[in-house]
Amino acid sequence: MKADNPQWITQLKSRVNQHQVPPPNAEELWAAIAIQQKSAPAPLVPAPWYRRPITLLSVAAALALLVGIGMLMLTPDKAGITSLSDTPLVASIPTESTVKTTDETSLVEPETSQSPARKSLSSLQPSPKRASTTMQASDIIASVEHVREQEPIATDEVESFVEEEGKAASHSTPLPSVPEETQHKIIKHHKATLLPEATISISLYGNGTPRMHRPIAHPQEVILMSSYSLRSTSIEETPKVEHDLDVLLQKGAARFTHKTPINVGMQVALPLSSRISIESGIGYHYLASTISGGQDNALKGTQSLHYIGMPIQLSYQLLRSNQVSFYAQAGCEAAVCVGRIVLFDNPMRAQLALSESYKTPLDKMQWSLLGGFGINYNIARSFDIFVRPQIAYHIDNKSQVPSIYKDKPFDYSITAGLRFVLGH
Amino acid sequence: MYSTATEEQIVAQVKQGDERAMRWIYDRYSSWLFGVCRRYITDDDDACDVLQEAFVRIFRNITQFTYRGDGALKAWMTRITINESMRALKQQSRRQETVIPDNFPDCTDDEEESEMDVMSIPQEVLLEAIRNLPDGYRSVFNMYLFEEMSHKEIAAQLGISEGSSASQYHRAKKAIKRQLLQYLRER
Repeated sequence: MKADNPQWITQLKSRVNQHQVPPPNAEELWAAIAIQQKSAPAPLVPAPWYRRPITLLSVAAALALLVGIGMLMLTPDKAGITSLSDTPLVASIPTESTVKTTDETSLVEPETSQSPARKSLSSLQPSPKRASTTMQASDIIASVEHVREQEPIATDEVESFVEEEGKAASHSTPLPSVPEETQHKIIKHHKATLLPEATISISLYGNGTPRMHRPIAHPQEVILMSSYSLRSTSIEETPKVEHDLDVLLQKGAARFTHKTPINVGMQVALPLSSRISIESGIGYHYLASTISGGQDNALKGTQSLHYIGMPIQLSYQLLRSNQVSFYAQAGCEAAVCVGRIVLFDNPMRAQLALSESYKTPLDKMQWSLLGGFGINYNIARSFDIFVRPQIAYHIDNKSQVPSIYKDKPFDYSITAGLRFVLGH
Repeated sequence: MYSTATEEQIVAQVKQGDERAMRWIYDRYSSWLFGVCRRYITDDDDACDVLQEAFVRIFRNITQFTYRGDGALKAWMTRITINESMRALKQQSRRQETVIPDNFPDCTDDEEESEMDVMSIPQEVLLEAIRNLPDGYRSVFNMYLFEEMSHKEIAAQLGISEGSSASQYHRAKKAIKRQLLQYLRER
């Protein structure tokens, strides 16, 4: 330091630094210090982290969340199957509309003016809870009209589709074998599930929130899937063939283009020594991909994966000044997939998975190895801001769910955030 | 009892509230810390008050101190003592930007270029030359030279500009040299 200082300054510093002067009346001074020290309140010894209520609550909350997720993961997977029985009611249709829908052909009848399906749709009122995930009825109707003007092919396609399946009579065939009471029940069932069944992607939510269904983006899906639902309902005994969506996508030569993952989370650092600390917490990972490919490249869609992860890392402080420190970090993370949403823009053209029931399995537990260097800036006591370039290696979890973790196991990222350090 | 104990063990005893351990620390470091106080505070009685406050603060906050080897305790105590000195100076003068007094000693360019043998000057004279500086200059000089703080850090602590800190250090240096040269001439 101070290389510009002349020699005399260096000598001055050295001489003055050696200068020690006993305080005058040292004993009296000590007595005063001792009295003041005794009269002072007991020193504030920071309680160990396990005795701090907020820390305990945080740990308990994180554990409860992880246990809850784990229990949900262990329960039988029903949610992924497109079924009528467990699909929640999201729309109500007046009775007169229901009666009219007994004519199955009306569901795919291109005569718009008399279409009961249209009337049914016009009376759809998304429930308040689903308002954010469903389109307004007016939008649907507008879309129906738009499509019918431009693509009046739904009837033929549905008919041929149904014939290929051979599982039900054609759309022009009524339901003679089904008693009227049962038929009405079926129709009511159909009514209740019109909106959710119109979606071809089912979202799984491991956190127990109500399942969300894709917004209806294309009216032909409404018609097609409504017809499909009715048909499959009318032959309830027909066993469904359940395939994983990923198998169907592979058959359809689907391509996945991955977007940059987004990670957010909270970590707690516990110092083990002056230089070493252990960090853990909870994180959320969002992986988004676009789907393309299929026959004539007609397949278009998106996939989003949601993970809750629990990283644990050891941190070693390399350099430290008053407020800034550099550290190296290494550890691992276990991430549980808690949600997967697959949406298709044009399922009919892609002819994907419409002939069979399918399920969208969640990704398996994802283990990752983490390492990196970070710079820490202390902005207040126990409160740091950090920037950490980090590499991660995502271990293959042998699942068929496509994700960027599988296609690019090595991942470079820059993490930035705030850190609250316990245990000073 | 404490003659064979390490400093780390004594710090641990102080954290437990052991008064004998506190006394050991006081005996060992009070002279050094009083010297530090005297660099900043010109009046010895005031320096004693500052030292007392510094020790009380040291013992109250000892739980926050982490022993990191030889010299760590001394450095930590010195830092607390300097902070107490600065607080006392602030209370005394409610410091504003230092105004250079009319009789502020300065040296000519020739004097500035010349070297001198500081080792032959008594420590008390050297310290007196520092204590003769105006408060602001003295604080900047001490912090820059002895505490090895940067002008940026000094500026942040004293609430002055970085340029002002550098300027005050330069002027303080010249003023001290002038005094020491005068001492050498008159000796």
